[in-house]
Amino acid sequence: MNKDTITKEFTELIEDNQGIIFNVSAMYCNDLTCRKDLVQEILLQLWRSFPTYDKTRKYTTWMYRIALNTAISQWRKDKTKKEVAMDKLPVTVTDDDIINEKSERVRILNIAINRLNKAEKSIIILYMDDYPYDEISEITGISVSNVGVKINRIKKKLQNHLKELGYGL
Amino acid sequence: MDFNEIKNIWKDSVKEKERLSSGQIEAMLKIKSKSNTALGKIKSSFKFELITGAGMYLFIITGLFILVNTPQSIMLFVVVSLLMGIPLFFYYQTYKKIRHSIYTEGNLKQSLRSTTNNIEKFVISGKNNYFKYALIPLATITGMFMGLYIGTGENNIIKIFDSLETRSIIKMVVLLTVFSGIMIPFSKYWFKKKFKQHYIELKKCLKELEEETNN
Repeated sequence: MNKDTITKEFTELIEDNQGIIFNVSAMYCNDLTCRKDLVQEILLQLWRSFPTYDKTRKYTTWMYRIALNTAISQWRKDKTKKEVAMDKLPVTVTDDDIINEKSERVRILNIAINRLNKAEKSIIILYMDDYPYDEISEITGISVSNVGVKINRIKKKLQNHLKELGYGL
Repeated sequence: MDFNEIKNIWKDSVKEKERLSSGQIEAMLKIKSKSNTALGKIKSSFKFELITGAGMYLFIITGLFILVNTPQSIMLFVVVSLLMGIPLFFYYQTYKKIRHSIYTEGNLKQSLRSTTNNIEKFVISGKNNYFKYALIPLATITGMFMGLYIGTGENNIIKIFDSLETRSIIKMVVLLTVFSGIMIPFSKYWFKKKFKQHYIELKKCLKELEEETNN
């Protein structure tokens, strides 16, 4: 297969499943710059790994695995500062940029998600995207029996964080 | 609060908000941006060390070739080339291993474990690799003698040494000691900053995932 055919095949697959890339970047990044960088990084890692992709396996599973691995390995100098800063924002703050970018509900949900650790994020994102337990297990490496337990714990944790943030839906 | 409601808010927030066209995807693939993953950072830092080390190595070898004119000079040249070349070669081999690491080795946990293991090998070997610290004073000495060679036109290291006053030799030794004294801790700091931090970060991620399984 020549390079153009490979590029075309890859581009088509990405176009059809690009939601995964944006989901992961939204889960792991608080700001637009970080998201853009992460989208670019994931795309490059997918491209580099594409020659080794086993076509007998589900494409979305492979894609999620690489996207999550890239997001987890993403290195940002100011990461801690930004996370703390976002976490300390009072719920009532009305920043025009933020309001324009997403609703208050989404913002609060993002603050709560931000309090989860990286592993918890990788599990909950798959659950939010309606992945079955066996696929979550396949992607993360956590046993199927453990996936359900973990999801319940993370759900409770997230709900508690939302409560703490005074978020009554 | 019902979790389905949370799920819906999340889904709405990410649903088709941004979309890339095939042209945009292709354009993004062409941008050779610096990788921001821990592994990417390690790769680029390693590449920098490797290029700097190779540069110093070539400089020292060239210096020896020009300045050492004794009957045993060929033997000395071969011994020094091998003594410095072999560790440099192994350094390059480790780099090659890290360079070829991609995120497809099994699931997330396996992949992270494999990456951290690869890096660990490098971090440990890098931390204990005093060869690269030895290159700095050796390159400095070569630089000093090359300077003297250019200044005096004398290309015999022994004759250059003999022509120097004791005071000048002391000055050179002091200068070299001070310079190495500054450069070695600086290199160690650079190493820690560029490699160890990233390794710790990845290890933390892996621990988080393993904790998920063991809880």
